[in-house]
Order: sequence, then structure tokens, then C-alpha cells
Amino acid sequence: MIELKNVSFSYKHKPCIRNVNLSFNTGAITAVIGPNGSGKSTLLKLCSRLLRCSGGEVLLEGINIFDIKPKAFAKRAAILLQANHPPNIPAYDYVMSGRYPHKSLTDYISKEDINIVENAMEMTGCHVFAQRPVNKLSGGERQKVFIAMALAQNTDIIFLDEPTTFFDINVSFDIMNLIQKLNEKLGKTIILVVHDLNLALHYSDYAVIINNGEIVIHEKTASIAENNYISNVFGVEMKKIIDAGNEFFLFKK
Amino acid sequence: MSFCSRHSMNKKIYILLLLAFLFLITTFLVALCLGTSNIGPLKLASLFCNSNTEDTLYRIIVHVRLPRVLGALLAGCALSVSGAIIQSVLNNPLAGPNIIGINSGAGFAMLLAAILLPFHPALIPVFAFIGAMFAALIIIIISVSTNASRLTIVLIGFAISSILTAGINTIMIFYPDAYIGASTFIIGGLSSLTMQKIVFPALYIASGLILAVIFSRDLNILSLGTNTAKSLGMNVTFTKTFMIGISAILAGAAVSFAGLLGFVGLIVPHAVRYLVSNDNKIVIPVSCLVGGGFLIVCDTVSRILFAPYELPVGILMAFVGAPLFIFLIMKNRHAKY
Repeated sequence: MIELKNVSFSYKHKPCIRNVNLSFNTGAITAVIGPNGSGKSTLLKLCSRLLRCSGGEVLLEGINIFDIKPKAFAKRAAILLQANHPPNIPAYDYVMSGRYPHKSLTDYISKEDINIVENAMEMTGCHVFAQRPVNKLSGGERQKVFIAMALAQNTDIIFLDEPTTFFDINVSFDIMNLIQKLNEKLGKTIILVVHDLNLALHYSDYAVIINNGEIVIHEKTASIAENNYISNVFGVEMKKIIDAGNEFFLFKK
Repeated sequence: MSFCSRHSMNKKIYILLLLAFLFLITTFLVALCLGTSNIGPLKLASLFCNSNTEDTLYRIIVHVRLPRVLGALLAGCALSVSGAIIQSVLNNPLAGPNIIGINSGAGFAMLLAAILLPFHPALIPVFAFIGAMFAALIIIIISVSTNASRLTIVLIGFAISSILTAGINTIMIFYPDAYIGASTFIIGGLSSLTMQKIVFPALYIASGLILAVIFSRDLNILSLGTNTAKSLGMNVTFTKTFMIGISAILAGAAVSFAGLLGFVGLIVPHAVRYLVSNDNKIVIPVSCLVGGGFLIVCDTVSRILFAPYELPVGILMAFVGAPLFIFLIMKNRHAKY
């Protein structure tokens, strides 16, 4: 379980995260939403050991994440970042990199590694282009490769920083369906930053709304959708339509 | 259900390694045979079988050609792998030990030590390493802290290289005896090599090559980008410094006996990446074998082209390498540097 205690973070003396207390629900999908510059991505990086908080601490099972060795932490939590620059190596090799934290210097690639990598690639559907270089793939295919690598890392927590940005709506839904599958079938705890409020409300179990570096609310997504939190934070009108059991959200300024 | 035949890929790699190895062996033997007095391969074999130390031909081969060919082999392997590492760590295909000033750093530190400290052959590569590491760290710090573009890094490297070469020239003017054969040192050459001169550098190079092969997997992880490498549990700052250290050991040791040989460390790893694979587990060993063979070929050509006069191999490398470097930039002109 990931827990934040009085976490603060400043960038160039400008505070971006102020005194955040939060504990993420294990085995659930939590969406972190908020306006641009609210500190969503920073929050994710603080939780995943990529940034060190200037005040407070982030705990994993009660232990400060910086007291955990980097490789040991990478066995517990994987993070998928925005704007990953794609290297010119086959997708298969990229996914195999996810096994890095499980290997010591002298370890060879074992049968187990190959099984894990192949399962991850099949689950995400990137086995069909396993041998193609990552930089020659389309954005959606590339994202699936990145997700497969996070899967190959075999962690119980996966952080994702805006996994659907820049994609067409059909690709966005594909990716979100895949993320939901990881949660439902493999029981992964998923914490993701999403831009698209529709996707956030549609796919997450819990939502954290952040504004100006402070947590506005951390609640079940269903109850957030019922109330005016989103309208207030984003300054838009929100309307829920139910059609044949499906919920649709409309926004208007 | 294996959709990726790991087995056939491994087989391809072994065949490649074997071919590169055969290339190296062939160039090595051919280079021993060719020279002012050419001998046939059979003659070479018989010379080594009944080693008659009084035989002139035997003495030429063992005391003149063998050290020189071995020197070319060592310098070629070391500079190519050093370049492969630097290109990977800086994520910059235009980087190489001569381009970013590592070679001149090694040369400067070596000459400085030669005039200030008592001479010991085992220590020369150590000073060369310190100088190389110093130049490399400057580049690394600049590239990390300023987020400079790839081409800017090359320009900064050029500036650093110029300063250090100026230092080398200053020492050579005030202390002409600091280094025997000073004129070929700056262009890089392998004439008048003896076994004593290469034995210590060879030890440093061998250990550097072994480390490079062992840590080639970490280079692959580094090339995924700093944040991805961090998220996989790598201590990125330490790994980068460590890898640059290996590359400085290799380049420093090569410079200590071959002088400021340029371009081999740029071209060979680049060609291997372009033609074979981007996987450093393959790039490192193949660059090593091909680089060794390539420098042997160049040195042999520079030895026999205008015989009895000989060209320092550095001149030939510059004639071949500089146009290739320009070609690289032109070819990638659409890529963002």
C-alpha cells in the first residue's frame, strides 16, 4: 500500500505539492485528475521514487520508499512515463528490459523470464509486432509495448502518467480497457494520471482531485460524479446521462 | 507458444561474432606477413615453429611487426569499445573519444606526468586514465545540467579538445624530451612500438574490455532514457559515471602508446549499430573485434602504401574518418541533433 504523509515538494522554490496526506486503495484503479499544472504528474513521480519530496514521506507498506533499495522498489512498483523516447530496439527486447530489477549482474535470461515476457506481450497484444523496432511502431502500439514492459516487471503496483494523451479516442479506449484488464485479471493496483475526465470517470474505482498542489477530494469515483467537485475545480458544467445502463458525461463551459 | 525464436536469434549472434573474430585473425596474420619484406603464410608458420632467434626475418617479425600489429589490435579494440560506451551513455551517435576530448585529456595528463613525476611504465596508463576521465566528466556534467543538443555537445567537446591539445603542444615546446616521437603522438601513430611499451596498457585494456562486456546490459537500460532506467531500479548517476570510467580506462590506455588516434572510436561502433544491431550486448563485442581488425588494416596500409616511407596511421584515419563523420551528419540531417 502506498501512503503519503504530509508530503510537500517545491520546484525552484515554488511549492507544487503542499502537505498532501493520501493513501491509495490496494487492488483498485485510482485516477488522479486536476487542471494543468495542478501537480498531478509531480505527485506520481513522488510516489514512484523519481522525485524526492522536500517535506514529509512516501511510505510503501509503512517503509519510506527511499529506505528501500532501488531494485527492490522496482520489483514492487512500475511506472509508465509520458513522452518516453522510443529506442531503436525490437519490442521484445524492450519488454525484456522489464526483467532488469529481477536480475543480478551475472544472471542470464531464464526460461521464467521468457515466459513472463511472452505472457505480458500476449496479454497486451504486442506479440504480433514483437520483432519490430519500437521507434517504428504507431503511438498506440508503442504504448502497449510500454505497458507490457511494466507487466514484465511483475509488480503489484503500476503507476501510469497520462497513458492516453495524444491518442485518438478508439486507441484511448483500447488502452484503458487493457489497463482495466490488468486490474481485474491480475489484481494490480493501478494509479494513473488522466487528462480526459470521461475516461477517468468511466474506468476508475477511486478518484483523487488535485488543485494547486492540494488534494481536493479522494473518494469513490461514483460519488465524485454525483457531486460538484469537478465542476468547481475545473470551472465547467458537468452533466450525466444514463442511456441503456451506460453512463455518459458531458461538459460545457 | 514461443512467438519469438530466441534460439535462432542467438545463433545469428554467434555467427556474427565468429565472422568478426575471423576477420580479426585474418587481418592480424596478413599484417604480420606484409611489410618492406613480404613473406608468405607458410614462411610465417615455419618461422614461429623453429624459432631461430638469429634469423633476421624472425627478428623483424617478432621485434618489429608483432608489437606493432598487437598495438594496432589493442588500440583498435579499446578505442572502438570506448566509443561504443560513450555513444550509448550520452545517447549521441556523433560522440567518440576523440570528438569529446577524452583522447586529448589522456594525452595532456600523460605528458604532464612525464615532466613532473618520475617515470614508470605501469603508471603512464593511470595518468592517461585520469586525464581521460577528467575530460569525460566535464562533458557528462555539461550534457546533464544544460540539456544541450547532440550537436552542441560535439561543439563543446571540440572546445575542450582544443584547450587540451593546446596544453599538449605547450608541453612539447617547452619540454621536447617529454615524449619520444612527439610529432606522431598528436596525429596518432604506432611506429617504434615495443613489447615493453604495450604490456601495461594491454592489462588495462583487457580489464576494461571484460568490464564493458559484463556491463553491456546496463548500457541497454541506460539507453531507454534516464527516467525509465531509474524506474527499473538503476542508480543512473552511478552507472553513467562508472561506464564513462570504463571508457576512459580504455581510451587512456590506447592513447598512452598510440597517441591521439581519432575517428576509429566514432566510426566502428556507429557502423556496427547501423549494420548489425543496437543491442549493446552485441555492439560491444562486435565493435571490439571489428575495431581491432580495422585499425590493423589501416596501420598496415599506412605502412606499405608509400614504403619505404610510412604514414602515421592517424593521418590515414583522418583522411578516411573525417569524410565519414561529415557523411554521418549529412545522412542524419533530418534527425534532430
